[in-house]
Amino acid sequence: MRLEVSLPLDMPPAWGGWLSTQSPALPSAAAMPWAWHAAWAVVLAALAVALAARLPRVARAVLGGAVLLWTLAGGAWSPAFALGLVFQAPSLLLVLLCARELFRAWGATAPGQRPASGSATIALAAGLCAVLLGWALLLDSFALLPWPLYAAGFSRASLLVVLLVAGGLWVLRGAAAPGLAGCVLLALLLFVLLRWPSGNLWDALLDPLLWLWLQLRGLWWLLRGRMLSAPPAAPATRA
Amino acid sequence: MFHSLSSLFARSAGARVAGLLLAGALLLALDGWRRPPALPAPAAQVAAAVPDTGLRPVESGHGSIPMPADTPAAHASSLLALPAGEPAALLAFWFAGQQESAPDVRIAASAFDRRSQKWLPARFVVDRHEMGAALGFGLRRLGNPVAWLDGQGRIHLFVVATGLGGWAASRILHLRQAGSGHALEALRFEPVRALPLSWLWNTSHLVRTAPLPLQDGGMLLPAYFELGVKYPVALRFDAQGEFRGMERLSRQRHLLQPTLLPLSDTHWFALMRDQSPQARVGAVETHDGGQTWQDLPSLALRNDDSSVAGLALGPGQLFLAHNSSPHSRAVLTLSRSANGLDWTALQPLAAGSAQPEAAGERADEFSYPAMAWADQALWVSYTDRRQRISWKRFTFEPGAR
Repeated sequence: MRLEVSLPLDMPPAWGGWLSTQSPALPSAAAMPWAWHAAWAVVLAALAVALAARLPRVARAVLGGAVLLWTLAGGAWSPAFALGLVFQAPSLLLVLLCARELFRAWGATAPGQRPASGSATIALAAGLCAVLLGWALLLDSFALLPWPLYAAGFSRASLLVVLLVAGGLWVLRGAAAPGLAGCVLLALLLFVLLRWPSGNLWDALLDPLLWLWLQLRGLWWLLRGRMLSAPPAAPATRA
Repeated sequence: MFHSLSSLFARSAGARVAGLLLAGALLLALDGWRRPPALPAPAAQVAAAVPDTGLRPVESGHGSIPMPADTPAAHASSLLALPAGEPAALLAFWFAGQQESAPDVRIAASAFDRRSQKWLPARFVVDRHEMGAALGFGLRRLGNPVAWLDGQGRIHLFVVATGLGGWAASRILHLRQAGSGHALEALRFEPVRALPLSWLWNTSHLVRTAPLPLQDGGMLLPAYFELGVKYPVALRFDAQGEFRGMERLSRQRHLLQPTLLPLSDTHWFALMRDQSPQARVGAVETHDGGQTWQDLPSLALRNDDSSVAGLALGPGQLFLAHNSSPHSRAVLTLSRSANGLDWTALQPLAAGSAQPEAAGERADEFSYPAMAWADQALWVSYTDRRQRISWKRFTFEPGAR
């Protein structure tokens, strides 16, 4: 008995090629080695600066700069060499978020300055979208979805959908700072120009490390909210 | 001006919508401009090498391919036929070192010289340290080379490179010949990229079997995912050797290492290694050039969790090398089919003992075959006891099948 389990893999060309996953634009092979190191340099420098938050601003700047230079110029001794072996490249969005933190740490704004209140909701919505997307991509990696989601990241339709979602969040921000939605839109622009890191849109927007960090951050935010909203303990009474 | 725009966007939702529409249109236009033109629907090149079904394969040569000096282990060969008129008929690639997954494993190559009718001394052509330095990230181990010749005569080599965690953390490296000509002593490769196949740190895709040439000059490269579950995929490349996308071949989760066999330009089979207890060759089928695939019941052909290699030499002339011995890789068999579903064993390619001869020794293993058609002959190479790559050549003569 023949089992028929069809896997529709590509849509009819009548849809104008928007859904096609067979015309990816890939990044320049020549540029990738240095771009790899530059991306990890930004991420590691931001991490170093965040971990050294208690140090004076000058010390943080020197530390961040040293990590940046070591990662950029270290060759096979650069941390990017080992990080690339395990994690390949960070997403464009992670690099932009880290670059934003570096700018803040190096003096553009005071570190830890809170954004205007309206953007917190936008950031939460964007973060939730990212977490759900990550779970879907993880399931897709193990062929647990009925359609190839990762491959859809090579299509124009995916770019359009993300543009609409990120653009919608940016429009809804009101007078608040562009924040995360602005970073996503900038990541989309850089992706279209550079096709970095892999030519796949999902790799540009969300890598597993960023996805894990978003969930940990969300968990921390929930726990912190519970702790803050818990009623204060009753004061001890005098004998 | 930037400050004015920023201030306008902050004040006015209408301005933000207008800005988004304009920027979005420009972005989408730029994206469309950067993409390569669409490829035609895939259609396989169907060989007509052996048109007469009355012909039978007769062994006309055999031996072992020379190994690089001081290299005790070899595995997973790939054969590449070269055009007529070149000094060599075939190139063979395999991985070699102290043992599989050893840090010293490199990709070795040899060439079958037409004039002397011998394989030339092997040399290493891919080293993980050199490739890592060129790529900008480390490569832990190398394995499973697969070669392809594009329309411009450049050799592309696809190699498995592991990250942290063994074969389950593999990526497929795409390498391309540096320079021109196919002389073995001058063969060098430069990396193109690690193929983008998975969101999960791009891990756990591997290659093993030969590409299926397409009529547009490109090819489909069989590959598979191997982290916990196993599933087969095919990767499309255009005539210039640029990656153009991937497609999953089966919903089953225990099939790997597909080999593609075309019956016609759009009717193909993918036969696979099956890790389930069935110990048979797994199969899927397409009637529309790979746009949709149907899972089939496993073939009656025995193959106990081992790599197979197939080659279509003409309409109704399908050949498959597989391990036919129960629970071992001690017997490697050449089988033939006219329809891709019903197979007949022709002859053993190699046979040994399924039991170790002494304590501490391993059972005989003849496995991981590769096939190619060159100089009017069918060539088969295979791993011989993990120590060398052995080969056989068959010409086709009239006679009883």
